[in-house]
Amino acid sequence: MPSADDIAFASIPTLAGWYRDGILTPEDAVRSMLERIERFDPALRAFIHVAGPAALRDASIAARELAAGHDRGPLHGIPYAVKDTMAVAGMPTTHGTRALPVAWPQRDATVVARLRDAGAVCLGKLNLHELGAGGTVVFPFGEPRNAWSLDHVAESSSSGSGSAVAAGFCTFSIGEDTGGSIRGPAAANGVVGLRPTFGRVSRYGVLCHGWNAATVGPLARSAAEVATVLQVVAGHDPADSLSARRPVLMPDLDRSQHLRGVRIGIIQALMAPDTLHADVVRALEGAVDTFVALGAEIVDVEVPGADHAVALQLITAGDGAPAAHPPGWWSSHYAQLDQATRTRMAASALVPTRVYLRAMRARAVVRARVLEALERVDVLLAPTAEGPARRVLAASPDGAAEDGNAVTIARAFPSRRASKLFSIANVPALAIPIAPASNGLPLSLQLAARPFAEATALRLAHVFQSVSGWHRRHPDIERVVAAHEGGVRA
Amino acid sequence: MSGAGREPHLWHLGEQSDAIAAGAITPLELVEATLTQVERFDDDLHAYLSLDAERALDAARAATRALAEGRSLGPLHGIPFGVKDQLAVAGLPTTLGSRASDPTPAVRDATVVARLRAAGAILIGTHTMHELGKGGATDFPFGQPRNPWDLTRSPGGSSSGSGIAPAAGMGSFAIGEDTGGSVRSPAAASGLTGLRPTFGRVSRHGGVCFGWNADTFGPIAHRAADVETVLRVIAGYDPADPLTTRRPLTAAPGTPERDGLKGVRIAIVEEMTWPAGAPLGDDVTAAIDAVVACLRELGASLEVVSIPSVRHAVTLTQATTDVDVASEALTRWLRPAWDSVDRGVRTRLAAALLVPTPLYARAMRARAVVREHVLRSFGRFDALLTLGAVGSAPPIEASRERIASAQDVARLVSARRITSHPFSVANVPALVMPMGVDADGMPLAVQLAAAPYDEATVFRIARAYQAVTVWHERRPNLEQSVASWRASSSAPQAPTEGSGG
Repeated sequence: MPSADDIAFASIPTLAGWYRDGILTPEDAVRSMLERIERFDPALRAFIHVAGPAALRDASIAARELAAGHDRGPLHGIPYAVKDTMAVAGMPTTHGTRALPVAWPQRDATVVARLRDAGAVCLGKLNLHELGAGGTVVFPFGEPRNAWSLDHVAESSSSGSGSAVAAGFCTFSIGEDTGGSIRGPAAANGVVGLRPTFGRVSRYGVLCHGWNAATVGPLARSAAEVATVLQVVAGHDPADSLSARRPVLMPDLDRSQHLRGVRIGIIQALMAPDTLHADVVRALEGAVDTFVALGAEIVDVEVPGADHAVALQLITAGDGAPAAHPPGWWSSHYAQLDQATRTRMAASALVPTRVYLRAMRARAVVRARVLEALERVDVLLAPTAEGPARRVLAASPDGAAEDGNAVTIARAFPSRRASKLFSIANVPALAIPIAPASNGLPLSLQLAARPFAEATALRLAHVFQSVSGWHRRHPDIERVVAAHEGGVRA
Repeated sequence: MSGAGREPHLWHLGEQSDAIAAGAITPLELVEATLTQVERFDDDLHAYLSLDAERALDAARAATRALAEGRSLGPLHGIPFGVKDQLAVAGLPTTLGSRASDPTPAVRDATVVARLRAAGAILIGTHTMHELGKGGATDFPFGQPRNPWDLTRSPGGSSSGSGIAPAAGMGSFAIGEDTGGSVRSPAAASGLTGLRPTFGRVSRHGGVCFGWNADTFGPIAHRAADVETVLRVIAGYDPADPLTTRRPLTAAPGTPERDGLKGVRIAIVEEMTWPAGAPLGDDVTAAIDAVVACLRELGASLEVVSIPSVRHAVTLTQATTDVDVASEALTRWLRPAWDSVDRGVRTRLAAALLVPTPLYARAMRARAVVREHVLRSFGRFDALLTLGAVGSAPPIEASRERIASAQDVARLVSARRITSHPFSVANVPALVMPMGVDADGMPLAVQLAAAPYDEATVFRIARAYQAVTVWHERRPNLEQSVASWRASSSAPQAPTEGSGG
């Protein structure tokens, strides 16, 4: 039998092969991962709820089905977990808040139902910033830590969806991305994360405060695995009227391993060295060199208005929050909400309608500019975040950020300009790991493609990963945890 | 070229095009006759805000010469038209029906106007509208527009002049703008065929679109076939309007006039055909029954369906689109020129500015739900059928939305919009056309809607219907209706009646 570490970091096709070759059963894999979670997650805080018995039951069903020749496909018996804003029948949903009673949904969210049909095994619910909003100061279920260093954050808001995959607690995960909430944690933890085109994946059964911008997407350790999961979860859902009816196009990953004829656009305004950590500049240069070596052509493109993406996103992204709860809910639960969450929500409720509308119109303009740029190139390449994950900051006992308002604002509103730009443009954007920072923390770039052209970004990333290998780096969790404990003792 | 014994400016567009191509009339004769009609009747009807007569005559002479030289300028060669004064026309101001607007003439034509000119059509002028273009005007600073069938009646709105002009032979077709129902209401009031295309079908570049996610430009003419001819000229992707679609405008299969409607499945929407709280006259009920019988005879199958949530469409539009409009109107009209903006318009917009963002966002989500409920019908049905308007055009005084109570909102604002707003919220193509007359001989209208971008189905049904009915052939007798109005208005008037121009 493969070692616990081998199982933890095995890819989807590797596990699938072991299952079918009798080397490992889904029960073995799930048991091994549950042990790993039990041992290390008290330090990492990736999970809010670990569904041990349910997962073992599902794994044994998967094993029996496979043994009986009932093969559900590439995800049969593969362990995964979901951001705790998504309904899984029989598991509690907290949305990362104490302001809502814990829900025990009877029905699965559509993504979960599709994964269940495909035989995947859900290990539990992943930690997040309160209500998926970002900037949480005090986490009701513990602050999620970076899988590479417990002194650093796992980023917002699908934090556990990034750290759990990086730590080998599960083979893939599902996150939710409004302004970067999949790509941020993917970047910080060194995994691959996809924000699909809005409408590509059903949002039924998922809390979506950014009702016209929130998307549901997969995180895994390679672009090829993200493609496999996307194929299962994507597609029209009658229960989500905003889900698209367009066919799901999948990348041809067996094609020749070069990128000749591919045009990659770079928005210089997003690459300005004075806005990026020096390590990010260096790592991006290296990645661009790799793409060039693979035969891709690099093209400078202009996207006027790209600079306004952060402001436009912040003014408009809270627009679904009021309608997600009964009238009066926000004000009557003010005291139970985290300082950052409530400040952010109160601020968006105070945006005058005419300012909101102006920003919505501006979003349409910026989107048109991004789409124009994508007429001339196949993908746009940009940094995912401006730097590596920041350090965990202490909070005072009264729930205020110790460092005062400026820091509260800084952490409530991480910049991630390029991530927000692609959210506003509603184009699919894939975050992939590149060369790490000098302190060893992961760094990441995004490939954004035309609407519904997820396959283009996935194929480019797959070819890149076939030569670069950055995605094969894994943290040594034992050492990460020990180092932190040592630091705490010292 | 029959034209049913009428003069050429009263013919429908198809007859005019055929006659021009055959040399039976020249573009110059048609434009001159149209301008004469404006001169004779528009002081009473107020369809036009700005006339571009000299340029129209020049264009007509050029079109006549081209014909003599055997050159066709396009599918609308020599056809006169006007546009709602919300679209830029080079050399004319875009007033939006407001004295507070910037009077500087536009430098360039809107895409729609440019495409029409390129297809040979000849612009006569710009049309009267409710101030700022969203309905609710109680008075008209440039003169009270009047229904050509009965000048004491409302011509509908907000594209008021765009309905009056084609009915009165003052332009063969018009381009109106429809946010909630502003193309369909004037078309219905004057016995014309008018289309709200799918949002994105027609470029809005050069149009003033305060209702930025709902405003659509669409044609009004006598027949569905004419509306289709015009739509084919103005539809299509425009790089200057990133929200225009690249989807092709398909054609109906076969020839609807000949092939009928075999196999077409039509749902009659209960809430929009027999609306609650607005009892229909027997004439309206009978007209709807006759339409249903006629469509069945043509081979279509019809059944009644209920879509309860469409009843919320009017309220949801007020909580969203009114806010969009008001937000744009605030800095250039409401703040600097409050006193000069019509009382009804400014009250409605000021109220909309008080809608908080959370409420707006909630209403936008609800709009998506209503839309989904409407779209669901298109799995089982090819088209939806409803009343085109709740009854015939009301007297002008009754049409003024003077709101003094919540009951007034229900009675004056909401009830009359139930036939139009649901399809705007659903963003589906919707066409109104005449289906009969009421006891006073005023036009009654029926409405057809189809799935997004499926204008072809709407045209197919309307053309088949108009091939076997004559309602679209009726014309108002202007000599009589204008004379009778002049006689009555020379008697002492209440000071609130009209604004006098």
